[in-house]
Amino acid sequence: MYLITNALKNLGRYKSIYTLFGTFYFLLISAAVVLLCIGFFANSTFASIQRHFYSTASIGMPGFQMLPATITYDDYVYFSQSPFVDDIQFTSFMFNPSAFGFDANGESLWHKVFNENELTWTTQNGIEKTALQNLLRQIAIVGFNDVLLPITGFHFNVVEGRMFENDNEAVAFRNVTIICGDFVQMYTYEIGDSITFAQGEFYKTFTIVGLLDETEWENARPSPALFTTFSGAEVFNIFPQKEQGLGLDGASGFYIPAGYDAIIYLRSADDFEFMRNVVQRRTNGTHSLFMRHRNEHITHLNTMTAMQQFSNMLALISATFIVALTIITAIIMVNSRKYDIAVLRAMGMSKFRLIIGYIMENLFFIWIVFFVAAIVGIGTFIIIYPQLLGQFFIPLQIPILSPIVSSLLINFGLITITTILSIVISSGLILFTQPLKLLNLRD
Amino acid sequence: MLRIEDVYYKYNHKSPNVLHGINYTFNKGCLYAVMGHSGSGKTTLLSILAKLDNPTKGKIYFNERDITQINANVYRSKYISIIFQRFNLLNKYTALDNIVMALNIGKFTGDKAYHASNLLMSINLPVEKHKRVVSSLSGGEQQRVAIARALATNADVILADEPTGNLDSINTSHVMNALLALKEEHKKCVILVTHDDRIANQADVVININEGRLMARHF
Repeated sequence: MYLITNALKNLGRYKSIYTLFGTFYFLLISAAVVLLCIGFFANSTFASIQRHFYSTASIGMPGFQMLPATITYDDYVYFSQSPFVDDIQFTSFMFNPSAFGFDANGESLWHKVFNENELTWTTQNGIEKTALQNLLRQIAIVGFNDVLLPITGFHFNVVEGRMFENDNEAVAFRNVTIICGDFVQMYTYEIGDSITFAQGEFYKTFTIVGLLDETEWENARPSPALFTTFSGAEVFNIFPQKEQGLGLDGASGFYIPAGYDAIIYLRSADDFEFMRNVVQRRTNGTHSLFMRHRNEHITHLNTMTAMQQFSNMLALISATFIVALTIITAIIMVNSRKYDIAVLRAMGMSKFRLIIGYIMENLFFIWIVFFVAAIVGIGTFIIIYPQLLGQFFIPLQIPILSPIVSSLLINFGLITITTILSIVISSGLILFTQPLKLLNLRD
Repeated sequence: MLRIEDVYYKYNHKSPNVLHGINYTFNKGCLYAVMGHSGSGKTTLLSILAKLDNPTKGKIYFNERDITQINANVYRSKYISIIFQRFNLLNKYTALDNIVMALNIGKFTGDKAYHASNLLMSINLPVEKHKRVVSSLSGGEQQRVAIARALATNADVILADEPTGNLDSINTSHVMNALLALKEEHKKCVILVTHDDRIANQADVVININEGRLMARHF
């Protein structure tokens, strides 16, 4: 107990040197906290995107609700204006006919339901129609897939990157996607590349975060393409929103997430290519359904990676200075107290108690500075954080505390360990010198 | 109580011997005055006795036990007290804290602050100066603090290197009375280095050191 109180008193007794070094420490530690926070922030975001390398995932489309088993065509067969809707062939690719059934002739009912000015559709009661203006509505794309999603338990391998982190990410406006093997091969995509789907002024950009095992997909479906869910663009329009979504139940398992407008399933990479051509043709080449941004390094992932590396580099420099300063402080402190050490040794204080005393004194000093610097550093980071939020994509599942806590722990551990080692090493020589020589007692 | 046997000492292997094979026995209940010209080895002798360094050659026995066999920390904190010529106080500490530190090292179990205060008063340091940083005290006051610190551990042997060197006659008298009391009432062995014949005259034995050799004169 005495050692503790004496160590605290010594902070006041030797306040000149501690104030000087404390100022340097404060600046360095607060800078390091901010930088490490940014680094961890970027790092955790990056890690959340790149997790699950070579892992096996089992998907059942989290967050999606199974729709009522029995629905009528009236419930869901609507189309708005689209460059694609008059292209029967295209549309037939867009929808998996097996999901919607066939008429008596084996032809997809979907193929019959629209023309230039009105929608018509076939029901068991005959042909019905409605004007297009009744059907124009804000409908968003919420999903792509090669074919209908499996209900549950369909296994495939994520060969690179990851699957969706959680339900939230899969459905809640996340600009990430997972693509399938043959699509990757066709367009040589990599993790971190972005894909933009666009029509007119509407577009949506996704960052590829996972690549699926094509073999598995091929076993299950002939032409895998791209798998994602998203919302926010009124491009492909298909299913009108209902309170609980729409879809078909059954072996084919068709799901729409509650609260979302529609799901579009594209069967294959060929479909994409086809769609791209259609869009380009219809917009005279001014728009493309599907644009590639590979190697442009404008993705969030790239930005985050760059930010992470930059801040990590600065944090490393700060840490180096902190370590250097800690060592210098310990050496200067111990040497400036050489006389005191000799006196205390002459009075019979053990080397162990001396070292413990000096370690505690320095730790108290550094912890106090650290505490103040951490508050300032965190405050600065919290001020910066909203700017980052506005500029970068940040998954919700990363708590803001995580980078801060990580940063604090690293800095705290760094200064604590360095202080202890520095004191032990720098005082070693002095402690093993006889007090007579240190006190220069000659007569 | 404290016996030195054929002790030699030199600061390093290139320097000449400061002490030349000295032999002597210090007994409890006696006051020894060590005299000699500057550089004769007086302070070195005290330092060796305090185990601040080991003799180059020879043995020192405390109660017939070789002090090299005694833990240095225990020896310095319990058996020996030393009053340095240059006080060697902890300059950033208050007078009281210097004494409390000595009490802590000696594992004193009572009320340390109270005991320390009493010790400071016993060597005539005013109460209002007890909590002053020692570097702000006068030389005489610092010396009294150093003496109080040496008295704090209740050691059997008091080693004092010119303990009254910076004191006026009144305070010199206070200090000498305290040392004599330790000798007479507590049967301590007091060994002090002095250049002052008046101090030496109060000693039971005067030991002259000349070129590292001892010559004792008993009264």
